[in-house]
Parts: sequence; structure tokens; C-alpha cells
Amino acid sequence: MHPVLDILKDKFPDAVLSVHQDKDRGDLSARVKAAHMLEIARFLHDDPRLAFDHITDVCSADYPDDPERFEVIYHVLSLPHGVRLRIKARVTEEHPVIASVVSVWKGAEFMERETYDLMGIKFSGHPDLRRILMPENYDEGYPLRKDFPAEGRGWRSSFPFLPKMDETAAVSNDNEVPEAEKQVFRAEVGAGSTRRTEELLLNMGPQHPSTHGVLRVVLELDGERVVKATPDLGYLHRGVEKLSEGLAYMQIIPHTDRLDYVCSMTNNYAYVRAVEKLLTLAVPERAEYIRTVVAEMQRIIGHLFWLGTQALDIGAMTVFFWTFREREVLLDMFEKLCGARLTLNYFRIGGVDSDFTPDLARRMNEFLDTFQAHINEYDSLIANNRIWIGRTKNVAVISAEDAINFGLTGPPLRGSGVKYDVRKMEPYGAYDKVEWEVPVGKNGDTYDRYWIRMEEMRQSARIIRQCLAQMPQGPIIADAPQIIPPPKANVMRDMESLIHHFIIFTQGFKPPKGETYCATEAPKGELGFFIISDGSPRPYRMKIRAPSFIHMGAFDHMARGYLISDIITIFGTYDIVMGECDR
Amino acid sequence: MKFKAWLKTITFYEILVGMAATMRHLLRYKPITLQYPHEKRTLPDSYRGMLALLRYDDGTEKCVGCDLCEAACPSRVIRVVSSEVPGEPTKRYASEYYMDMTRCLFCGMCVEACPVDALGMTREYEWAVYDKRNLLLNKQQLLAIGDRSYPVREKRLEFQHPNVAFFNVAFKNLPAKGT
Repeated sequence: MHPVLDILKDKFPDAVLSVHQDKDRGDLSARVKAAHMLEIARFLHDDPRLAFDHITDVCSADYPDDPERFEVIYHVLSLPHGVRLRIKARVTEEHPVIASVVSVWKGAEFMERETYDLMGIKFSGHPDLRRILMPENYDEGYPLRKDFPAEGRGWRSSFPFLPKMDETAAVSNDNEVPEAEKQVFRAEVGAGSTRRTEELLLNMGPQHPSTHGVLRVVLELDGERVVKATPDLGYLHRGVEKLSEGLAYMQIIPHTDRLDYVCSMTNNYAYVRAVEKLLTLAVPERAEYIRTVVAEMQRIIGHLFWLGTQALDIGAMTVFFWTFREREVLLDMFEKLCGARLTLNYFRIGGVDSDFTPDLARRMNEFLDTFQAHINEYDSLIANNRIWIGRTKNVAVISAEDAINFGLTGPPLRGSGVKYDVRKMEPYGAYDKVEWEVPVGKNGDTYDRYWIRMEEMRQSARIIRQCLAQMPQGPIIADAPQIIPPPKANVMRDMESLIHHFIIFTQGFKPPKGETYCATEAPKGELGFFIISDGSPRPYRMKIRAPSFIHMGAFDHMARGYLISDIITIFGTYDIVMGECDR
Repeated sequence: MKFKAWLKTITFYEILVGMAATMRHLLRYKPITLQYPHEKRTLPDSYRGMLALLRYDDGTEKCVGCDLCEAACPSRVIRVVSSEVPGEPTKRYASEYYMDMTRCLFCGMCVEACPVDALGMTREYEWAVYDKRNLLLNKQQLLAIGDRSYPVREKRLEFQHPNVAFFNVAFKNLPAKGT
């Protein structure tokens, strides 16, 4: 038994119903009584032997046949000890209430709102329990419940919140929004300036060009200073989690492309790794190297994209053209590799789709030869530029404690000086076989995050070069006929392959009963997939821990006190992609 | 050190460095933008573009109507209606085949799933239409795309096998029952 579980069981003999350590996958989980959740959360956070200071995710699962129907699942991470723990608490359908843990981990605010929105579990003591992804006046129910049809209820045309195309628009002369509706966007009394006599609510987005998608933020302003910023998410919600409950494991891979459409390789990787962890399937070494190479290529693309757009938002145009020029070279390589540029669908469960040919390796090396000079070129444009420094230094500052408490990951967390990288903490792929470093910042401002992303591109280039040099020969997909379709050449040649081919494509494979959480370091942060399998060919529940969504939870905290023009920098500092944020 | 920083500030040193980089690009100006509708990129053969139905070299359709593409499709693009080949009760084909390209993800799962390689992804990508109902393609349209994109056709599957005699049992050549 893992010491963490022992400590937990000793401290709460009554509240902890059972503890479990997954032998094959190493996941620790504990089932607790819902009434004691807050107590346990506080103990987990405060006890120095455990120090679960980072909240990874809050999600829920629905078991309609169980007397206690809903399960609320918390994933917490102890950064000092490098341990993950899953805590599960059951609530009934009649009384779906559990104490909110926002007072322990501030990052839980958005996660609990999402759980409330999609599953209908109420969190008592939550500061602002509203719908977050679905429209606020959505009264069709809670979409992730098992009795909610995947197609939705009713036709689009009958939803009251959608405008009817065949009717004339309602004419309204008073533009004033009722006071009660404004209340949720207002800061509590005493926040911000004391001199203000009247505050202004400003609606930013969803059509603002700097929001990189459709994000609406309601700003409460005191002059030009932001007193409170309330992100309004969900304009791009497509229900990928609900969709995936109706799809076989293989069919979900193209849907993960569309989460973070700037970096679809890493989404594929995160999902495929989670399924492989569920299946406890080993991947051939060459495939691991190829995966590492393409994931790092995608990281370079993601950071180049970020740099270009962030500089463009702040006002430097040239950087945008130059970064997109390099991005194009890498996208061409992806196109050669898998036939698509953005929605790649390159990973397969157990390996990859096509081989990384020597020709591609040569092109990659050629690119890396000049890439270092290109990064220095971007640096020469903006690194010391007084406008760039003025717009990024000391903007969107977040301290290390706050960043951890909000559950931030990736460059926003490392910018605050926390050396947390999934690739180092739980090495996967070929990351433990090559030499590289995790860059960390000092001040936790946008400039540090810029510096970290530049440095990460250099480290990625280093990783790719070593991987290409070390890449062994061998198969690119695992040999597991029950799970992986046979090679296409064999299908019409021998009967056994044909039968396997038909069974896998019609029924899919059946993973063992179980659940697992698997985290991958995406360019935006920690991208995790939590999969519950009930032994059928489709996931019973799939939760995507999207870094963009969780970073938006810290937006209000980071935006308070800055000017309106800084809001654009603060959007950019997370490297937010709304496709992933709203899922 | 302080003097140096001050000197850099008043001379706009970092702007000069940036301008130097810009000037270098200005002198070694090499456009990488393509004038798109007039110039087009050459796409790799593995490009995942418009889907197409293919034929064998004797002009018969490859599709055997097994529905595997329909089962593999993650977004329910494909609808297949399968029936027997008239006069040949052991052979089947797709009498109707529809693809709703408005929903297609271009993931290539159907191509991977097809056991007889009857589906192919072409290098066509200019499929913007004014009415999205035009993107519901039927079998004839899909075969037409295949005809113009795959000029080199495969031999019939029976003849591809090294042991041709084993597969080449054409039932119509067998004597009818009872004679």
C-alpha cells in the first residue's frame, strides 16, 4: 500500500470508505464520504507529508443504476512529492450536493462550475455557481447525464435561445440590461479603487480579434483599470466528452485533433497515451521516438504560433510573418508525414500511422540547422524592445503559490518559477533518453513566459536532434492483434487478418474495466485524459483536462488592477485556444 | 554597466538591432507566399483530400458494400446500401452510396477500414460550394472524382493474388446445380 493512502486511512478511518492502488497503472484512488470532502481536501492540502497543493481536475461520472448515482472525482497532485491521487465521492440523485473545495484550491472554481453545468451536481459554498459552457438560460437538463441523448433534446430551431431565421427580430428600444443580470459580473464591495463613484461594465468579445476564437469577457472598470474580469466561456462548446461516449476508442482520435487545433499532435498523443495506459499496452521503441519527435515539432509550431500572435496583438507585425514562415516548413513536413497540416490524426493506439522516413529526417535536420538563427532573429526584434518590455514586463503577474493553487500548468506555471513539467516528472516517450532542461522564470510575468517559450523551442530543437540521431529501426506499431488492426497488405491475403480487421473496425476492442488518468505535457500545459472504462468498446466517461480552460480560471485573479489594453496581453499569456477551452 | 544601459536607451539601440534584422530581410528578399488561385502547391501523394470511390482496371466498381467504412466513420458521414450483383448471388456491391461531406473530418478512417481499397483520398481540396446540399455526394459523383484522380487502376483482386487459380473461382463458370 502506498504511504499516502495509509496516512489518509489512518487520519479518517470513518470518512475514507476504501483505498485502491492500481497495480498495472500505478494510479492511487480513494473513495470517501461526500459529507467529509472538504475536511479531507483541507487535510490533503495542508499536511506536509501529503502536500497535495495542485488541483488537476474535478469531474464527475453518472451511474444511473446505482443508489448513489453521481460520482464526483477530484484529481490532485502533490508537486513536492510528485504523487497523483484520485478522490471519489458519491452523491445521490435526490440530493446532489457536495461541499465546494474552492476555499482549499482556488482553481477548483471553474472545474466545479463545469461539473455543475454538465452533470447537475451542486457545490455548497461555491462563490459563483452558474452554468459555464452551456448557455445560462439552458433548461434542457444536464448534458453529461446518461439519460440525456447525445443528439440533444429537440431540434436546433426549437431552442429558445437561438434566433429564428424565419421570424423578424424582436425590436427592443431599451438597451439597458436589468440590474440583476449585471450583478454576477460585479466585484464584491471594497475591491479595487476607493475613489470610484461609478463603475462601468464593458463587454469584450466574443468577436474581439485578440481573443483567438470566441471568448467573451465582462470587465468591470474603474476608469481604465479592471476591477473584475469575468470570462464567459462556452461559445465553442461541441460536447466532445459526450460525443466520445458514443464512439469506439479508435474513432475518438480524429475528434481530439479538434480540441487544440493549433497543436493537434499533442492532443492525439495525450489521448493515445491514456488509452494505452488503460490497456497497459507497450509501444515499440521506434514509435516512441517518432512520437517524441513529432510532439516536439508540434511544440515548436505551437510556440511559434503563440509568439507570432502575441506579438501581433501587442503591435509588432513582423514577428508574425517570420514565425509563420518557419511554421510553414514544419507544417509541410507534417503534410508529407500524414497527409494533413492541421488536423493530423497521425497517432494510432499502439504506435503511429506512418513511418518517419529518412527523407523527412534529413529535412528536419536541415530545418534545425537554421532554426537556432531564426529564434535569435525573433529575439533581436523584440527581446530588448522597449515597447515589448513595457507591454509584457510586470503584466499578468502571478506568484508561485497562487499559480499552484489555481492549478496552472505549462509555461504559466513555470514562469512563476515552479519547475513542474510532466515530461520530467513522469517521463514518457523518449524524454528520459535525451538530454534537455526545463526552463523556469522568476517573476511570473508575461515577459518570463515569453522567455520560457523561446527557451522551450530551443530545448525542443535539442530533443529532436538527439531523437533523430538515436532513432532505432523497427516496427512503428505494436503487435497486438486484439487491439490493433492488422497491416492492410494482409487483409485480403489471409483469413485471420480479415476477421480481425472486420471485428476491430465494426466492434472495436474492449479494454479491461477500470479507470485511469494520464497527463501529457502539451505546449499549453498539462493536457490530461481521464477515461472510465466499463469493459465495453466505448469509453463510459472521458474527461479532458484542458489546460486552456483551467488557465481561464485564474484570469480574474491575474487581470485585476491592470489596464484594458493589458487584458489582451493577459489573454495571450496563457496561449489560449478556445477549441480546447470549450471542448 | 549603468552607463552602457543608458547609452543603449538614448541611442535606441534595440530598435537599431531590430531594424538591422528587418533590413537584412529586405536585401535578401525571397518571397515564400504563393499567389494562391494562380499558383498552387504540389501536394504529397498521401494528402488527405476529397474522398473518392475507385474502380478496377476493367471498369467495375471496387466497392463490395461491406459497410465497414460506415462503421469506422467517426462522424457518420457515409451511408451504404448493399445488394447482390444481379445474376451472381455470391457477389455484392453498393447499390447506393452517400457521403455527407459537410460532416467529414478527413481523418481517413474509412480508407483504412476498407478491406478492398475501394476508397481513396484524393488531392482535391477546392470544394467550397454555395449551397451545402451540394456536398451530399452520391455514388456516381464519388466514382467520377475517383476516375479523374486515380487514372491508374488496379487489377481485379482475384488476379493480384500470386495463386491466381485459387481465387479465380468464378461461380458463373460452374455448371448449374442439378445438371
